[in-house]
Amino acid sequence: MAINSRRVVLYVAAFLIIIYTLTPIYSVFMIALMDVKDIMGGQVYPVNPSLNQYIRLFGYDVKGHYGLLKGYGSAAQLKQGLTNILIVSPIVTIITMCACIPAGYAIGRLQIRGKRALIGMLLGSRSIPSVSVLIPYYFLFTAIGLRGTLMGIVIIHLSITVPLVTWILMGYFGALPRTLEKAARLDGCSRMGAMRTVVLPVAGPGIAATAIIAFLFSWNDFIFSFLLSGGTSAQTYNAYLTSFFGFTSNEPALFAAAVTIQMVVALMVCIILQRYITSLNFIDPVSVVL
Amino acid sequence: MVLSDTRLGLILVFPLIALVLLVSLYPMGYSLWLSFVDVNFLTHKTSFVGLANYAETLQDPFLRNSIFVSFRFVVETTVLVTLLGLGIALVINEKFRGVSFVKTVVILPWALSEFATGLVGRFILDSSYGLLNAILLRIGVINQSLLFLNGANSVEWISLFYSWNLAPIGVFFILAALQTAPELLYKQAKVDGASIIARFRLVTFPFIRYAVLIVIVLSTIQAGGAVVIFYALTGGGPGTTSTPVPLYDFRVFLGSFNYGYGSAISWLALIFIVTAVTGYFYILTRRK
Repeated sequence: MAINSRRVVLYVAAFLIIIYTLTPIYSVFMIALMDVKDIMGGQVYPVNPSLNQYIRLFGYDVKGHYGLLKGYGSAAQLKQGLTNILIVSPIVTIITMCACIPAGYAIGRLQIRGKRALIGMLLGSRSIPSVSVLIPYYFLFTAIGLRGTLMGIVIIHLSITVPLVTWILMGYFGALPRTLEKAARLDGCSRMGAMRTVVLPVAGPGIAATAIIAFLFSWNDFIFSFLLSGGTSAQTYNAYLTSFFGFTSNEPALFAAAVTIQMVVALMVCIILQRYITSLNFIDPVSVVL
Repeated sequence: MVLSDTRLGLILVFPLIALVLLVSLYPMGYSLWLSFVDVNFLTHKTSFVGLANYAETLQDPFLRNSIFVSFRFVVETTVLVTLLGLGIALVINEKFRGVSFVKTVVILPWALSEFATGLVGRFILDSSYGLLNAILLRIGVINQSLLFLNGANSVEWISLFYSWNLAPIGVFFILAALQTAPELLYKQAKVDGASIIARFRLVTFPFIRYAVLIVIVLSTIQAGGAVVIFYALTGGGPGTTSTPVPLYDFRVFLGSFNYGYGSAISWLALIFIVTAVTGYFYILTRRK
């Protein structure tokens, strides 16, 4: 009996956790699949579900359940925003990894002086509120002509991803077993050679996970791209979404559909990350600080 | 072979140091300078005013209001994230069928941006198309739509959604710590007749205390600097009832072009956060 009641409590708790986690996500997707009339009718599950809103979003008229639905007027800008972020995020991911793998390896693996100062600096730059950093950038980017360019967005994203990914990777490299590397060194590998042939292959999952984290940051960023590219042709998808704020009350379904496009990519990337995330040791770097 | 560890380390780390210095010191220095000057927004001429901008913060009723909002938000969010993180981690640390599915689901909110979370909040709380009103109407708790994002409660709603977004990080940290607690100790405690609460307090908690404190520190930093979710969910309203310090600061900069004063606020906020975090870490190291 004791075991059974424990079981029941666990299952109820797990069920509540799933409901709590999924309801917000469900609500957006549900609204995106419905017609405005059904939404205003207070439906709690999608009635007459269709992909009409997505077709409209890309500028095409479509015949809905209650008659013809006009295509979205600013589809061109929306597509531009989507293209922009699809260019920016991969570039940010690649540059971040090129800068952070050596740095993370060095801090996590080697005995170097000034290690604590470095870690303190990384953590410090993480805790600065965005407003302290953004406004100076806003002025600087406007002055030197980087505001409203994709390169400007890439640079500003790197300023966040590089410290973050280094912080994670150094804990990860630090936690990998050292025996393999030692054996390679004894067999005559140089330090760099051992890093390349022994450490990096073993570190594969951790590197994959951090690359995904860098991508997610760039894909999800709103405030940096909004301030540095909002209203220009370089604006990202997230920055573009603010133009829905005005007419949400007439077109909640269209807005919801636009939001789900952003969310689906993030959610899919996260599900891929699951396989790797257990291999990351997040706590280690902080314990090094103390 | 010739290179010492420090040398090789410096070569490998150099690009990073250069980048971090460039991207964090420049704006910090620039805003520190701005905080001591007055910028004429027509001519862009600057004049040194000393601590006048900082003195102004003491007499600003809007700032006082937003400090109150921020404080409320940070406390609520930190408590919620810690409790959610602890609760969920304790459940998924157990072994039962389907636990791996629960783990997959639990992390999903983390993948969403603060911005998307705020927008999601709109689709739940809106008074004309929100899901919450639809559900409440359907089960008959209310008979007309409610305005959830009103002056009195919008901060709590925003905190709730922000915590939803942040909780997976708490779960992750605490779960990782829970897995370091040896099972043998539990069995021993059980044999000795310890109750569930005593087992948690005496066996589990010492292993996760450190992780819980990390979660508290991280949520304080995150919630203290949060601005996007306010913008996405309520835009700071109604009125200024849900405008925290960072959002107010953005308004000072980009709405009233008061660059000197805005920089002074951002420096005070930064000093406050750094003090709070240092305090936490002090407690953390002393008790360890």
